[in-house]
Amino acid sequence: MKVDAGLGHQLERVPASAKEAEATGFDGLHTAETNHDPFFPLLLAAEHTSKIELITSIAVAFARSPMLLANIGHDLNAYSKGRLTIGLGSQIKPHITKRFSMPWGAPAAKMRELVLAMRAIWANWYGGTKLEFVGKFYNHTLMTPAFTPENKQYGAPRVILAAVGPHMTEVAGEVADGMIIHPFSTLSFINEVTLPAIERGLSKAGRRREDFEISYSNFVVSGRNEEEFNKAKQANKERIAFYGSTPAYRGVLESIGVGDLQTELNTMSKQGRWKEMGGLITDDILEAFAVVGEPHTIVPEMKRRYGAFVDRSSASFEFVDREQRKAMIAELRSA
Amino acid sequence: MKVDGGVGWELDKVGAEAKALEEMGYSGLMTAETSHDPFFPLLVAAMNTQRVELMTGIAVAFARTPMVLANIGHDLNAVSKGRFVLGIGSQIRPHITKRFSMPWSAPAARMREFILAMRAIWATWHEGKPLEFAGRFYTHTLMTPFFTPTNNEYGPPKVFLAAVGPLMTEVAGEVADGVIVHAFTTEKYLRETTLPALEKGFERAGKSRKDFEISYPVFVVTGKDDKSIEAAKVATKRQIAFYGSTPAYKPVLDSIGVGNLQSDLNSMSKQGRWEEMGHLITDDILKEFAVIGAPSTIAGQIKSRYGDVIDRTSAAYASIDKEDRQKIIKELTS
Repeated sequence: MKVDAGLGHQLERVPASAKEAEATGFDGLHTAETNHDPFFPLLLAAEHTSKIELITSIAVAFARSPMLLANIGHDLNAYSKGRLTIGLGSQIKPHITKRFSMPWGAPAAKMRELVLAMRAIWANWYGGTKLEFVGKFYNHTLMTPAFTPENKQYGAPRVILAAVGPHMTEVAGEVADGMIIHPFSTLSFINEVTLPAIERGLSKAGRRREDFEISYSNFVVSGRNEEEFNKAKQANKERIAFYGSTPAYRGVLESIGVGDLQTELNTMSKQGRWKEMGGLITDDILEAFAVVGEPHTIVPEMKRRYGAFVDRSSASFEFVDREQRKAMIAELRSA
Repeated sequence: MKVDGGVGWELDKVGAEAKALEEMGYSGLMTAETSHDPFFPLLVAAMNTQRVELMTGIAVAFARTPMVLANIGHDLNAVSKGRFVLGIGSQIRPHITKRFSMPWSAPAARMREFILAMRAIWATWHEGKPLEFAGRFYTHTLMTPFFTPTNNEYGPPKVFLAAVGPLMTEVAGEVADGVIVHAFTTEKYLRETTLPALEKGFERAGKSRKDFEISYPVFVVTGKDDKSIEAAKVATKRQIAFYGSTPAYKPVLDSIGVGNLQSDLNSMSKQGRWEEMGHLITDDILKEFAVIGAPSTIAGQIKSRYGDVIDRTSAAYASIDKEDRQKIIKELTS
């Protein structure tokens, strides 16, 4: 299993932290898109590292046109000598329309088209195929030599999708190079919903599972001592409660027979009762989402639970010192 | 007068390039948006310089949403400690709709709203004002602390707008911090069309000329010796002919009484007769667009002709020695 680390947005600090992550043995670095551009840190990380993979996890797809993403993807992949993976997610309707002022429509179908549009642009740039992409959501029919990148050596980056529901997951299986399973997922949800949807997508496109990378970062609850452990437990319960209040994620709670919790959590979230919400997450529910235990038990349990289907995980293992962290990463990476 | 120099798109070279230009005395570094992202080179340049301004000249505004550009602008201005200038332009309809798959309509009105939308977003981030921007083209009404940058020390970047026609120029005067005048501009057009349009915009916004920068690249025809000056003349004439073939730029030719050239140039361009087109640009026409002469005369000519109008120009002057180039930059910036 490959292991990734998160990369922050403070651009002055990125060179040092990217180097440190590479030296620690991480396989990839990923950025999120919240209050900063998600690509800038990866550009600086590319400059200051030589082998670590660079991943957005995720950039908001529908906030941008496929042409912009194709261009950004090209530049970062060329500069990093083929180390870029563009991880895309849909975000939700209010953020796309009211924050980004962009149109929203049938997210799974639109995402499928967005990825295919990017691939059509890349096929034009790298393979000289005429650009004639006319879709339901996107049209790209104009390209001239002046707007075609010249440095084609490393070709297109990989594209992966973040997905929760079966439609988006199936689209990932069909058109993406991999997918990011949401941390708010249970093993039964993954087995019953996620993996079958990926298989449907793969078979629709005539692709094999080996050509597809599944990334999943499970919750981890651990600590150096009782106090740290209990703090981590509480924090993770609150995070699970936060995700659990989202109507779109009800299916995940249903997978472990507690679908009704969603309604309750949602009501409480509207009253701002975040702390209390964590109290509704029992230890049993927590263990369905998280690997819980002393530091030395974490990696074996991650491998036991997820080793069969997860190709890459993301782990900061902040509850151990640097040497132990290195050892845990090495253990997770070994077969 | 400030002098800007262009940097290329090659990300592994741009750091050294930026350092060298800063050492040469340039005031600013500029990128264009053609086949690459226009912001990446400026991030690398920011990490490798201390003083120079960093400017897109230009990034295609309508290919993006105001929110994405507001975020990029914030990040680059913060990392460069206030040295970023977001230069934007409209591009033309086919490129926006068929290349970028984005909407196009009423470019000047849309651009005005685009810039006001970014300013509303920045006011939310930097001054805590609620985000309630509901315009004709753009809607930004959702912002939460989670999506608000916290490194607010340097505030928003300056916004420059590229404009040719009077409507877009007026918008620049009203809502931008500067205008990027097209190289294909005559002195007459600059004084008789551009300046009055800017003044109208200033008036509407209640701001004064001194709060605003006019950037004009100016065609420069120079060279090491007479022979290379002649060669530069031929090349510049061809470039002028190329721009002159564009219908939207006819008013610029009109400003010097040769508007009828536009249709000739346009039909010749469709026949690919680029070399011949250059012959239609006489020495007299060339003079209206360019300063011409030995390297030692260039800065003086630019200053005497445009010194009272423009705040910054840009200079590559690739046909002359580095030493001569440095002298021109020094003379212009002093």
